[in-house]
Parts: sequence; C-alpha cells; structure tokens
Amino acid sequence: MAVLEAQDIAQTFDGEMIIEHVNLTLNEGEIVCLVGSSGVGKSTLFHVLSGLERPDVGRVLLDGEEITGKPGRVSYMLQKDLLLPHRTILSNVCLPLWIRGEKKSQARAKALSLFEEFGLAGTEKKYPAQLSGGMRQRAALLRTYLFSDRVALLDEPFSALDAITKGQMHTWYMQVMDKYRLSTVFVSHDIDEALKLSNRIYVMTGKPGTITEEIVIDRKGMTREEYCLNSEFLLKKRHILDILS
Amino acid sequence: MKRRLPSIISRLLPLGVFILLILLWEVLCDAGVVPAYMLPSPRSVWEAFKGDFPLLCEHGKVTLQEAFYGMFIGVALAFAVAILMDAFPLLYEGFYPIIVVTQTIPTIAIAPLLVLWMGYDMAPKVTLVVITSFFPITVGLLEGFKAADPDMMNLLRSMGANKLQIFWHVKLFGAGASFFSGLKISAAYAVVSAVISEWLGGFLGLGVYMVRVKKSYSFDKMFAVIFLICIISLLLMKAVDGLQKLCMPWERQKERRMRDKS
Repeated sequence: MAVLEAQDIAQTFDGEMIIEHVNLTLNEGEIVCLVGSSGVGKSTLFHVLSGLERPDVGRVLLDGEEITGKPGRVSYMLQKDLLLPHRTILSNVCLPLWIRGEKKSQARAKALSLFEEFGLAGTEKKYPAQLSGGMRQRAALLRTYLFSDRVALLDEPFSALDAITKGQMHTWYMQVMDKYRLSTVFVSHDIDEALKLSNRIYVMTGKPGTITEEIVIDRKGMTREEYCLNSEFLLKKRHILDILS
Repeated sequence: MKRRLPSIISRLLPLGVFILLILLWEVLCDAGVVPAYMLPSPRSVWEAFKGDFPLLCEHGKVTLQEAFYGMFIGVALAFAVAILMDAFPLLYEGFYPIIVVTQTIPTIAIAPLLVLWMGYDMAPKVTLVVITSFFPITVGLLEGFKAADPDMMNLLRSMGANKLQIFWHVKLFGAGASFFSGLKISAAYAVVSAVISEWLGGFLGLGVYMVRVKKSYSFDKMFAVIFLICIISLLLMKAVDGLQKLCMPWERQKERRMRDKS
C-alpha cells in the first residue's frame, strides 16, 4: 500500500521549470532511493514532498490524504546534521515533539527509550560539538524518526561522512530500519549506496528533471553485503551509469 | 608540559612589560628627568590612590551605577530594536542607516546638550551610556540573526514550526556569540561614557572627582583616577566574559573538544 504518493509534480523557480511530470510512490516499509546528477531537481522535489514548497502543478498524498504544501507531516533530514549547537543531544532529538506541542517530560521519555537502540546511549547530555560526525548523523536520524515514524525524506544523509564511517553507518542504518520499518525516500549521489540500501531506485534525468526510470532491486535472498559482490549488482550499476551519462 | 609553556609565557609577557614600563617611569621621575609637577611618579600616584581611596570608592560607586543602568537599558532597547528590525525588513532598510549615522556623532558633543536637557542628576549620564552601548549590541544581535543557517530554518519549518519557534530555537540562541562580543565593546565604553558626561556637571562620580583634582593641579590624583577607570573597565569586560561562559556552556565544550583534538 502506498504511504506517500507524488502525482504529476511540476515546479518552477525564477520562471525556470526545474521539475515536471514527477510521479513517485513509496510503499509501506520500503526504502526508495532517488539518484540523479546534481542540478536535476532532487532537492526541489524534496522541498515539495516535505511541504516546504507548494508545487505549481501536482499533489502530494500521505496515506491518501492530501498534504501538498503542508509542512510538519513528513520528516526531512539533510546532508548536514543540523543539530542546534546550543542544545544537548536529548533536547535536539526532542525538538520536533516540542514543536508539535508535546509535553517536555513526555517527549524526553519517548526519546530516551530509543537512545540505546539508535546507538546513542551516553550522549544524552552532550552537546553536538562533542560528538563525531557519525554520531551526530545518528542523532539527526533519531530526531527524524521522532518527528515522523511514518515517512522520512533523507537528502544525502551519509555523503558528508568518510568512507569507513559511511560503511558503519550503512550497517547501523539497516539494523534500525529492519526494526522500525520507517518508509523512506533518500537521495544519493553514490550508486553503490543506492543499490546496497534500497528496495527500488528512481533515476532522475533531464532538464526540467523528471523520473525516467524505475529499477526494482531483487536480492533473491542474498544479504546486502553478498549482493554488493554479485554480478547482478554490477549490471544494475552499469545500467544506471549509462542512464546518467 | 611542552605545550603548556608557551601559554604561560604569553600570559606573563605583557605583565612583565607593564611592570618594566612602570619601573622605567619611576626611575625617570626619581632622577628628575621629568619634573614632578608635570608627571607624577608611580609611587606618588599609588600614595594618592591609597589616600583618597574612600573618596574614590564613593565616586566610583555612582559612576558604576550609571554604567550599569545605562547598559541595562541599552541591552533591553537593543533587543527590542533588533528583534523588530529582524521581523520587519522594511524597518531594517529604513532605520539601519540612521542608527549607523547616530554612531558618528561624537559623544563629547552631545553630552553637554544632554546636561542642558536633563539637568545635573543621573539622567544625562545614564542616557549617554545608553546611546553608546546600544549600537554595538544592536549590530551584534542583527548580525547574529542574519547569520542563522537557512537550512536550519527550513528544517524547523519542515517540522511545522511557526515563526516564533524558529526565532527562539535558531535565531536567538544562534546570535549568542555576536551578542556577547557587542556587549563586551559596550562594557569597555560604558564607564568612559559615564565619566565624560560627569565632567560636564554633576555632584558625584569619578568624572566630577577628575574635574576637581584637575582644577587643583593634583596630577597624582588625576592619574590615580585614570588607573581606577581602566581597572573598572577591564573588570567589567572580564565580567562579560564570565557571563558569556555561564550563559553559553556549549561553547566551552566545543573549545575543550578542539583542545583534545590538537
């Protein structure tokens, strides 16, 4: 069943058409990746999906309800962790709950119950500057999850991390995802990452940008790590590279 | 250990130079190179300071009061103006240049006017401190508000935050560092501004004391009060530093982390 649906989205910026005829569906518990060269309008699409911008044409549906141009329904995480430097990690992850008007103590209790699971135990009272990039990104993801356990939009969540941390984050991310089944659309420049983590890949090309191909990843019972070393993986990678070039 | 040494040296060096200069001054005066009626020796300044200490305290208290009231009102006013100007860009466009121009008016020029308008009591002194402290704090706050990360604001907006919530969580706390650097400049000028306006008329205050000792050619007392003003200004700036550390504990953590890394 579709959790999030974008129907025929078009958006202009300064009179220039950035994206048009974008159709996208996200099913329950699915991880869908959006790949495309820079400037193709991925971030614009995310702004529309998150409700920050109202599209010129098209609708965004969450569980069948129209949320076009309404922020606060779908959680959004950016490449930068964007943790408030003057707040402790606990206060940072509670922020979306406070903004929604939940009681402080209630929000805290809710957040604290998830710290262990997100690998953040012991960081509750620390400030973001005291954590490593990987840990900050974990905190940002916990904040995203607390914001909405239904749909998350992740805009290049791991691209600012070094290769080793990135690999660790992928493993951790999949563990969390397997447990919490947060339906996710994420943007990536890294095709390996897209093939490793997602169930489906949307390839965005053109000017104005639109989704030109949908690739379903069938791992045929292989683990993600095994799949990354399989010939099928390389074929898919070659195929995506061909579309993008 | 090796790393510690340079920091100690860099701390002691200015103190050493200062002591050396005072000694040189003392020697020159004692040797009669500079006549005592023109430049008193450090020792006689110290004697004057000790002798007049109760009187200096009495006057100093009044000056400090004026500086504090002025800075307090200045900060409150700066917050109000900066918040309004940030919320309404039209106000910013219209008033910012005027605020800058007001800063080019020399304080010495308006001080006598203030005395004429407000009399010889505290009011003109406090007003002058307000005028001088208001500007750096307002500019500090405005720059701080402007420096807010647009991505951060978008993130909060995507969470459904309203303008007030975005202002509170992102802008206000984000402006902390630049607010305090403005406040520090204000603290440095506050006492001096109060003293300047006391010159022009009043009954109590370090400026009043200064004018009296000048008229009686007591240069030793003159220097004593100048040193006192320097010390008070330095202490005020230090107090602002302390206040900043107290109000912004996260900055200290950041520093500590940077040091651990290096």
